[in-house]
Amino acid sequence: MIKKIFAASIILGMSATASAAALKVGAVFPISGGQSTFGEESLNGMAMALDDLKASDPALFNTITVIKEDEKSNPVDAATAVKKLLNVDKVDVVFGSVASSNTLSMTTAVMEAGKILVTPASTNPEVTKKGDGIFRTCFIDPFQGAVLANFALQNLGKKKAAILLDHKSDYSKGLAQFFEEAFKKGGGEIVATEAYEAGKKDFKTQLTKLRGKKPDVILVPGYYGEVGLIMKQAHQMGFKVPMLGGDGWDSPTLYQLAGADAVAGHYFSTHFAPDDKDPAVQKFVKDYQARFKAAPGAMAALGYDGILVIADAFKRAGTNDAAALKKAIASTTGFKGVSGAVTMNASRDAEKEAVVLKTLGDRAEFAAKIAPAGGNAKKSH
Amino acid sequence: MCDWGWRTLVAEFLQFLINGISVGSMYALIALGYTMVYGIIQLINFAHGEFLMMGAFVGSVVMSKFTGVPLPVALVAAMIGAGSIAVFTELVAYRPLRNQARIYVLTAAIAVSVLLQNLGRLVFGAAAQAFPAQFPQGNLEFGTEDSTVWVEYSQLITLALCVALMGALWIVVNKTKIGTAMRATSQDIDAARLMGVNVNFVISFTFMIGASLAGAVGVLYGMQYSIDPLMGVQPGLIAFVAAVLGGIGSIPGAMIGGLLMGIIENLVAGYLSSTYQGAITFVVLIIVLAVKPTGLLGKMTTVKV
Repeated sequence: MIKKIFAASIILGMSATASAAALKVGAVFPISGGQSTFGEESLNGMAMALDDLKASDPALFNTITVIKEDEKSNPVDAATAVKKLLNVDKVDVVFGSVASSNTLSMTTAVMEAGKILVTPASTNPEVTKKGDGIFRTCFIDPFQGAVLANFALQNLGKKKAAILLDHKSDYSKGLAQFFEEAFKKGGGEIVATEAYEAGKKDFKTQLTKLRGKKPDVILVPGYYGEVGLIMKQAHQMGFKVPMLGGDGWDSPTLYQLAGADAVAGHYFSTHFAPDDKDPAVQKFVKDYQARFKAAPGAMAALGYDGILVIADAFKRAGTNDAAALKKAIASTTGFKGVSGAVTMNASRDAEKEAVVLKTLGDRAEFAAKIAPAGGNAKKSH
Repeated sequence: MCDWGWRTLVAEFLQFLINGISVGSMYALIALGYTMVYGIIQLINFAHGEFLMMGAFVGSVVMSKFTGVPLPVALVAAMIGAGSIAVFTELVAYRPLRNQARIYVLTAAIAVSVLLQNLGRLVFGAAAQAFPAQFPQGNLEFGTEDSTVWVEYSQLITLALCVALMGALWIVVNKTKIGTAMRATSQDIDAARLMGVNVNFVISFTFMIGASLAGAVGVLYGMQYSIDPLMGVQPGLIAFVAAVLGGIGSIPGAMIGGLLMGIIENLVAGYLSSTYQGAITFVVLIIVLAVKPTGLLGKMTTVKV
């Protein structure tokens, strides 16, 4: 008799745990390499989000497991990392990465495994075209390029632009192309385009060639490691023209590499302004500062929002089944995050605002905010 | 009259040339390390780029830990640091394999290279950092409004320092006893041993000198650009090609090869396209190996069987 009750209760216990859905998330970010500050911030934001989730919804929190992998800022290691997460750890959702080239290299494996990828920060439009399981919780480069072009034309009044792009980065090439289209459409002229290779440190020859064409603004749509040096070298050469960039600039290392004199007076578009007066943003900035002893950049805010979007979709789906999760993520509407409200559109991209920041000697300050409908850049505070 | 157009072209060419010579002098210093080690023990030390990186970090740590330290002191510290690591590497990784087939020590060199890169990552962090000292800002301007050539102070100082170090090396190699011993050992290691040269010491000394030059370049790189644990990989590769171009084993060859590589890199970026800047290094290597494998100043040696 006792044996029967014992057996029955074990079976009941087992089925109880089997029916509670659990979500395994594999987080792939650049912990080392040229985009390491992006990875560090993304993971910090994610950690803060999970702690906040633990406080606000402990039941949901307990069903989510996160496994982290380093993609070393290059597409080959990203592909290896994602294969390990899918085949060995059997994750349901891959969360990451930042550089579009690296995220693109992960999409094939994810689609083949029939799983889902959510990138919080890759902005090249090609990423979400790779399959119906690929989502992003940030804006895309056609929007970002137009934002920068319109900012240059209308806010700065510049008509002649030169471009210095990173020819190994899909993000850089894409952003340059979209900027060029929007800039020309608005009546501007691209006087010169040069390229560099990420990892190289000397850009004087490219800068010399650009200087000869006399631009009044230069688009440098690359990552902070090279952009910092480009700013430093341009300043040393006496080539003092304002530079424009995208969210690849958003790192504290930019100011250290360029030096206070060279880095000030330029502009970049990104997802989040740390001096935004919105109380939710201010709370996020304060908490992040207290916990990590550094000011948060866009990647921290995107990492924070991204994992919470995944958790929210999982809660609505109620299961870790891929089809249900895809539907739940795709129907995310008006999800309030610190980097703005996330609404998924038909191409599985998020419609979000962009901000343009102006660089000072050691940080950046708010210059303009642009709504996703595109169009004119307006100053609002 | 449009002769200002002609002047602008000349100015642009001179600018590329100056950029190339400045960068090339650094490549020359690094190439010297490759060429000397090859001349003595016929080893391509793939870890040489990492000696550059170690020198840069030693210099950086010295300047950050001991505030108020003047740059020359940090430079010397970097050179000593890189030199010591090289001597230790030779003792531990290369010497035990000296009498084995060449392939073993070559593989060991690759292993040391990866080891040092990852050691650097562990100790110093993987992200790029700014070097604690910078060159004085400013430049000299020559020419007129539309055809100006700028020479930055950093480029002048780099060139001057590299030339000075090359001169010091030349004196050591040609005018001192140890230099004679080095030349003897690279000519015929067994004969040198028979003549009483302490061959082990000479080999260690060669490693030390080559690496200390690379360490000095590491500091220069840091001051001009930034430092990170993988910073030695690309300059190391380019300097290796420079040593091959100039004639591997030939000291004047390494100097010429280095300067040429810097100039070629910048002219290609200037006149063809900056996207080819990375590829041109290897195009040069292939051409040299296909056309004149001994390099510009190298000599064909027949091996008596």
